[in-house]
Amino acid sequence: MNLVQERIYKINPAYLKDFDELVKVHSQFGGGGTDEKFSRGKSFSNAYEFYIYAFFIGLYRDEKKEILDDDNTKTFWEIENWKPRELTDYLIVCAIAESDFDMIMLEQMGEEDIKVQIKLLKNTIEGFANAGLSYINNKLNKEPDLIDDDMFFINLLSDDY
Amino acid sequence: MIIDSISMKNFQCYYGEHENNNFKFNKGLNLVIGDNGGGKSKLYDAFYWVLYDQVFHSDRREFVKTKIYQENLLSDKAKNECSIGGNVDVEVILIASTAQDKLYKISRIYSAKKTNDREWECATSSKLIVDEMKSTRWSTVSREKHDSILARVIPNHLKPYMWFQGEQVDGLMDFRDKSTLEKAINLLSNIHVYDDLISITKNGFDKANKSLITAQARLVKDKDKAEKLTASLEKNKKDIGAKKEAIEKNREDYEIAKDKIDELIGQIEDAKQKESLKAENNELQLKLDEENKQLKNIYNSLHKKMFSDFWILKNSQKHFDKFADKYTRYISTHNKLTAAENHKDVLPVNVPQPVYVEQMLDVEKCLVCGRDAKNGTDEYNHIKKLLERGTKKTDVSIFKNDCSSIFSKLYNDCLGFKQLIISTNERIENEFNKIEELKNNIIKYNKRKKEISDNFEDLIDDNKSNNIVNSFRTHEMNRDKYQSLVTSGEADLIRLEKNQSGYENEFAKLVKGEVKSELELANTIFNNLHEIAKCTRNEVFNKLIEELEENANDLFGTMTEKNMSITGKIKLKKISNGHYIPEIVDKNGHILPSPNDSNIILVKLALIMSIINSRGKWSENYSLILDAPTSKMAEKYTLGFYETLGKTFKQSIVTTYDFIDSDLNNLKEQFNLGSVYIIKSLYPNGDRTDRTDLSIEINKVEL
Repeated sequence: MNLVQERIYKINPAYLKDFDELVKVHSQFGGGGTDEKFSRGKSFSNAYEFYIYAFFIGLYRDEKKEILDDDNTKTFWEIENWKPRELTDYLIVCAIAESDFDMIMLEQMGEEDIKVQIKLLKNTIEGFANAGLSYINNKLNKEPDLIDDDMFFINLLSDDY
Repeated sequence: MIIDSISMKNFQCYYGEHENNNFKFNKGLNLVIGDNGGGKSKLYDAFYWVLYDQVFHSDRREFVKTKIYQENLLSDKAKNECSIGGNVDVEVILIASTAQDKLYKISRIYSAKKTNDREWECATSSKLIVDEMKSTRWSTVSREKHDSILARVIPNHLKPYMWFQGEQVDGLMDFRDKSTLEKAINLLSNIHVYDDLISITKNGFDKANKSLITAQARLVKDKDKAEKLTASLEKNKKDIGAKKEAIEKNREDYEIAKDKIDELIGQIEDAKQKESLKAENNELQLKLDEENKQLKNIYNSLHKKMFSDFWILKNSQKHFDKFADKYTRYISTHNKLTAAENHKDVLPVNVPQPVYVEQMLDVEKCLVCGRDAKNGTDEYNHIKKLLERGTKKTDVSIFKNDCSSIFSKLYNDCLGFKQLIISTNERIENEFNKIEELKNNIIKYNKRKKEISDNFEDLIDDNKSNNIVNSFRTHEMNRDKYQSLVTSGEADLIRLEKNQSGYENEFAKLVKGEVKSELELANTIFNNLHEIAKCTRNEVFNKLIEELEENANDLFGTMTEKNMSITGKIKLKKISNGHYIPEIVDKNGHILPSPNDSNIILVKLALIMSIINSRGKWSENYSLILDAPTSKMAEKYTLGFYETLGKTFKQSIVTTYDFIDSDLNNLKEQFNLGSVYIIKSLYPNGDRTDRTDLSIEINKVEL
């Protein structure tokens, strides 16, 4: 496999520890039947589902919350394990589009420079996803009753951006 | 065994010698017809006493032993005639025959001595003699064989179901106790074999499990922690057991409260209207459950569809377009670089033509510029390379990391989403419409349910029978209370079971090393065997229930065919605690409202008879003895009942006050009759209160 490709799919994006509670409340950690997740009050089958969702919310809102080096963060799974793969690829495409990831120069770069490019991509993914998580968190903090709204996440997606 | 005859001497109202108090029975339906006080129940007592040394104590409403009943066993007339210092002997002789025509005579004898006008010196116990007919004479059977011979007349476990009085039917099949049917089936079928199997496999599993845990414990390094964990495991196991019991109990209480509510609805005023409201309410509840289930499924799939149907990409087109621009720039640069690499030689391919190039190599000189190009020099090699242009591709890429295939794949794959993204809004809207429709239905049904509930409340409030209403309310409260206890209990149970597996996992982590594989294998095998035994038992039991329902309906149908008002059939309904209760339902399966007492008795009798009839063919081997079974039955049902008895049992002996005024010759045509007797009490001195003058007149009816 091409080194760039390998590095992209090995990205293990993080979220700020402040959102840990949010992620755990809404996604089914540690597997379990997908069919049961809704009755167990979980809208997302996995942490990565929630993360993908948050990425697109951040992207559509055009908001980024960059993770700084000394931020307390949590990771969950490398991108190569996320499903469905088509959706993960679409996320990568959007992250390439919205970052300074240099597709042209990349082809001439050595390992160290590639690392920098991959970091750019990772930062972009994390930036949008954490902005999305932050937006969801604020919304739920402002209106705690929204947590009981079965359609909350669908409605959020349906908003016009 | 089949009973050939019974005769009594001075047994209660049956005053006098055996020849005066003798009944001979045949196969088929044997009837002993008599009015109240005519000696019917005492005849039933005689059957009971001769076999079990017990009689029914009418004040205590229970069977008591001879040593308690004492001189009350004696005929008052015989007692009166006995002089002080003299004895009165009581005897009952029952003659029964086996299917192999073996004849047994079972005699019970009791004696009391008159010490003064009022007092009697009674024997401490009665004496049982059993004789067997050998060729032409009776031969005494040793005492050791008595029990087995008595058990062949009527086995002990069958006795309550084959020898009973009309008033005992309710107690025998008391459906307020939800386990009644199960108990009867357990008792009368071979289902206990499966219970034994469950118990054996459970013991096996417990032992195998214990051995495994002991072996694991030996491999544990942290003994303290293991000890604590084992204690927690044990405690949790007990808690699970206690919680299961509590849930079972609450389920039963819930069913009881529900039954009481149903019962009371029938008693309060406007019962019919309330019944129909209740039926509508039930139907609405079913619809509501279904719509809620559908709604839940849609909600569940909605979140799934964000990913599986890519709704999440709804607003992503402009970002893809941005990528597309970037990609276009990239691929154009990439291609240009590739092309440049391919064309970096100044001269096009085949210029100069190969023939000239080969000539240059031959002369070792460039014919264009005239310089020397000796073999082996760079110049010579350069000329030689001109020949290879266009025929050989270079293996060395001009890119350190050629990403064209990855980026092309990303571009092409994501390009395909365009149409899907355009239609996302429409697809989401369709789902929302479905949800809206279901929600509207749910609101509509709930509104109607509320109306029904208000209407019901008004009807209850208007009710004048305060006690019933109060008790209705109490049971309603109980029903809700027990239902919530069951729900919370089940949640607790899930938590406890989760704890259990947590403790087990933690314990497993402490085990360092491997236990013998045969221990693990034994544990698994016994666990599987135990599960198989439980499943098999359930399957056999359910099959029994099916058979029972079918047989009971055949009998119920025959018994009720003379009464056109009954159209229902028996349905054995499984209730939440796993027990079964009988219901009378119409052809659509709806419960018939408030069945009358006669119906209930018929259902009970049909069930009893079908249990006896369907398993082990007891109806072929033993005699059914009933005392006034139709006492709670409406007249129209009795004919069907007797007809069923005649058809179902090889021999039945029934004491009854039915047919007292009937033309008995008609009976022969209707039923499969054996012998028919008419008995009546005799008071020769005319004073019907003087029991010292009482004897029984027995007349055999010649049909």
